[in-house]
Amino acid sequence: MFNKLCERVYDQRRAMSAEVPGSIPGGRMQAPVVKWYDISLPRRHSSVLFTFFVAFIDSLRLMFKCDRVPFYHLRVVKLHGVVSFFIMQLEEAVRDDVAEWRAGGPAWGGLDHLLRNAGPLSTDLNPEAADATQTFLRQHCKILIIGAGGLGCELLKDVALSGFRHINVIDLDTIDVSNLNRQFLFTEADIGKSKAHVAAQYINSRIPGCRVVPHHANIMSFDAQFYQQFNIVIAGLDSVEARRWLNAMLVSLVQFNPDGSVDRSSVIPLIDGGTEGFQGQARIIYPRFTSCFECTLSLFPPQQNYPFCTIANTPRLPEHCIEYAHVILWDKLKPFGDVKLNMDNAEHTKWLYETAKARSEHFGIQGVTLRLTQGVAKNIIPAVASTNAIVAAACANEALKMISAIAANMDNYMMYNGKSGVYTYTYKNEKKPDCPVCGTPQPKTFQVSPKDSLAEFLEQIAIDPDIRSKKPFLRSSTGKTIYASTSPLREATQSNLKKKLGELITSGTELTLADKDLPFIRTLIINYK
Amino acid sequence: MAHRAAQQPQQPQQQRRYDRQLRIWGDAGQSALRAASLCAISATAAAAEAIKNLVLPAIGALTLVDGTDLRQLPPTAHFFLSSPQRPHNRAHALVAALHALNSDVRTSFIPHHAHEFIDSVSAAYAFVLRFSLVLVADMPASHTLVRFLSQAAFRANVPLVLLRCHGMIGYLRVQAPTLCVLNARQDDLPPDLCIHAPFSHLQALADATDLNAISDTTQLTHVPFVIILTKALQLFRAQNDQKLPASPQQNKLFENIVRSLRPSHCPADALNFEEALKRSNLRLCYSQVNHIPPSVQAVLSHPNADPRTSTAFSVQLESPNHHHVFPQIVHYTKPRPAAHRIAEQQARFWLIAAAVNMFVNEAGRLPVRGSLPDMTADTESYLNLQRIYSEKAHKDAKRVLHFVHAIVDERGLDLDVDDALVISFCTNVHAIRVHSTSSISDELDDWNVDAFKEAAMLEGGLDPSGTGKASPYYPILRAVDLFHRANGRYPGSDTVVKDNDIALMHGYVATVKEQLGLQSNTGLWRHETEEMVRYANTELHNVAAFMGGIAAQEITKILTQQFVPLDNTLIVNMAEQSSITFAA
Repeated sequence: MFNKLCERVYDQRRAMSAEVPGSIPGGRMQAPVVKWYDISLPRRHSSVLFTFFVAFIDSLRLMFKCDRVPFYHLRVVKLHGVVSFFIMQLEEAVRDDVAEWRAGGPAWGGLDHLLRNAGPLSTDLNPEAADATQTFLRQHCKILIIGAGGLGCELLKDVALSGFRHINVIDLDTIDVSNLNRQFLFTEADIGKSKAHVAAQYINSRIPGCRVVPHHANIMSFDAQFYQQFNIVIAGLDSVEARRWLNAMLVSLVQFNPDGSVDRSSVIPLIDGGTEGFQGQARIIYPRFTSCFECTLSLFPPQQNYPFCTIANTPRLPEHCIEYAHVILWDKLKPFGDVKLNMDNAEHTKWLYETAKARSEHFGIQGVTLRLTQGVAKNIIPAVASTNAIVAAACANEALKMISAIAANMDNYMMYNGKSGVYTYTYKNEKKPDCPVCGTPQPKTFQVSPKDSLAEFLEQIAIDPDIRSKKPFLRSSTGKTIYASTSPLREATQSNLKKKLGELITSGTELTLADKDLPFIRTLIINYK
Repeated sequence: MAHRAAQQPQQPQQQRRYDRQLRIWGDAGQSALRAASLCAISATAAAAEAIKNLVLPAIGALTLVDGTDLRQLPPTAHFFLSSPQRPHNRAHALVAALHALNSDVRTSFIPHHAHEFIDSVSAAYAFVLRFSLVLVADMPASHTLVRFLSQAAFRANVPLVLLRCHGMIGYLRVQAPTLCVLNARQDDLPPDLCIHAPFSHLQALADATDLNAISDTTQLTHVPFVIILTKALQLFRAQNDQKLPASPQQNKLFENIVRSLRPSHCPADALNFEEALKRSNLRLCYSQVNHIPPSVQAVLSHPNADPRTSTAFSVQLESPNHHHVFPQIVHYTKPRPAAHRIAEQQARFWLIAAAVNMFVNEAGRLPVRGSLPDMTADTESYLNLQRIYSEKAHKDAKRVLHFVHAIVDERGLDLDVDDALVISFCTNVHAIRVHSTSSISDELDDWNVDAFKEAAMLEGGLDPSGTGKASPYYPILRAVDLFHRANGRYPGSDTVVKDNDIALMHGYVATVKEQLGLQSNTGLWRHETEEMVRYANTELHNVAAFMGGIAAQEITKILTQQFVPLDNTLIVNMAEQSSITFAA
């Protein structure tokens, strides 16, 4: 049963049940509390002491210039003793929350009922550990939600109503009016503000005892130590690149025992959701045990690009005109000087729309609209509240089942399609033995013509289903840098782009490929046809 | 009216706010959603989630019926009801919270339990007539209220959606005597290029293109494959008694003709000839001659689409025969009269379908849709081709419009039909559908045993081994309803007598198994039955959110008349995450 794999979660739950059978833990829980409590405090317990405490933390926040002040920082400034007094107060607050969901208590009845009543199909459930599980869920389990967008808003609500209390959320975006048709934690008054902050505040104000800590940042700006603190990560991301990075990060956290077996306590499950229109998917990635995101990269085909000669010479569709304005004319005409096109900038969007429109009129092509222009240039994915709700609920449900064992987890991928009736299909995605992230990758051989230019070869590795490297750094086995897409070597290798492969390398050469957006290094073998 | 509103461009602010969903169902879908009025009975967590997912995309109006006093309930983990300043009535409190999410939605509530004022089929009939769709949450299908609503809604042709959650199990049932779909949006349909029966302009264009006379290879490699195939098919027919390729051998022959059309000075890897070859398997390229897809044929041969005898061109609903007094609806926001009903949309649907019928009788084929997929071609020849297709489509639509007017005049109908609606109907004529479901009230007594068994068999649900199946929970839910009717509570809801409940439930499940002819398989569904008793009447938020999401999506599909609705029962098992659907 899949559940049994979740040892990291289970070990902690079992430890709880051994230490505190049926009782509410007291001050001995301080150690994990010190590690986990962040600056977001339960507002309804705002006594004078708490007000003081919050002010104290806020000043630290200013001092460290960061949103989040982990308590190890406090240790650094040798204030640990002072802090522990306040932590006692926090514990008090937590105890109030605990009283509400205890057996016999009215709230959270559904979960508590299922925790205390086992059935023939809930084989991993130990009803005697019900209190311990509740304690673990509400006091010690730490969950990270990635993205506070369409899925993120739903996920935050779902995990908070499932009983998770220590929630972190990362999102680097700000709120836009086009989010409001589904991202229900935001209102018109919030437009322009940080998604993570507004979402966290909303949840904290609605769910008693909930402590959502927001991070207005890129996921890549956090290190392994940050990710290591969580018991479960749920991702609601719309970018394949971000998911590849996150997946590789969580796989890299897995430790091995001296005998080579996986140290299960180091494994952090990743639950990943995605939607497009009326379709979506939810999956569980249990690093090193199940297939990882990279194993099944081919499920996410690369974005389709229009051939250059079509958009330049024989445009037929309105999309061709938009793409020409987007890819060619922006760089050529520099309408706003030497700045990058920003589709969130109304002036930029207007210029692009008008330029594409003029081009389409020149050719007599119909159908260039503002909506289509935004869709093409921004690669907008259609999105609606209902699909987000469905996929997020499936993800949050898997997280709750992992922690509580009230029912078995799915194994391990569910696809959803609501376009024709309601269709869901759950199946097991298999591990790829040569996965570059969680398997043993083999060198990848490319059969190319020596007459191909390096630029053409780079296009090939950009769309190769296994590799998809857009910012490559290529070095040959002889130590020669063939190409670097970033400075300072970029300037030195730029001239190679036009050269034929035959001039640069011999057949059978091994190339090492690195990419700053990719979480791994691959070996490529070039064979000439 | 939906189609007229579709003509008015929405405010730029609205366009931006709803941009991501407009990319799914378009302006016409949004207008239909804005015109709809939803009634939700019982504001449970699952219903609240469903409604939330309809308020956000801006359904037109919402009326919530719930008499629960929140002070009588234990404080529960309800996202929208956690504010301490909330009103005491559950419907009122939820409406207030949802209004804050989107003030574009007109909201109102009735602070009474529905069964207090809907006490007969005729009362239910008078009630459902006010709405586009009725959603009933967490009520056993056997509840008398559900029976009244089901019979009334079936007669009034108001879609009814039933939503239930028990522990890890979710249930969704759609009831609608007829559902008309304007655009099923199935993207796997082949394009309609009329290569098999080229209309005059296409034939003229093909005739005017002499491939061998084009000396410029750039120009030659940009002749659209449609022209190449039209010419090739003409040659094939000339050699084969005017027939189309019908066997694999003839297909080979046809492919050779396509190949032979490539002039010797044309590069061998010319993309347009490759495209022509790829599509020379004609089934991939177009439907057979004058072929009307079965789903479209089902619409056209429906009695409602008969131009002479159909009674569906006007909204002919009997008025309620008694005067029923309902509790006053409390309007949270300013009301706007005239809830737009599915029946009104459908009158137009059937009228245009009847006109298409007349068109098919005359032309022997469906109207040309007029859309052209992208293909290798230079700008000018592509646009030229696109123009002749769209002109042809326009001409066909005009003819259909003519038939619409003819029917309106002949039958003396008081129904105005917008030109744009007819044109969009013809453009998507391959994607029109009609669906009908059985009534929930009938299902209680006489259900579709064969459909269930087939769906359960496919899932492995008739096999006692294995876990994580969804299908066993349909018969078990029927048993739950039997239990509920006899005991007035759900099995497992009183933990003291849990073992007794299990024994009783095994008995009820045995009764259902008898209806299925499965009584001899004693081990079947035992574990699932015990799980169901364990689940009792618990409502887990994630299950409510999942089912609420699906309910909202189904309601959106019905109200926008787009995509294909659920037919008609969905069972979800959120342990191990599985689901089945079947026509109960």
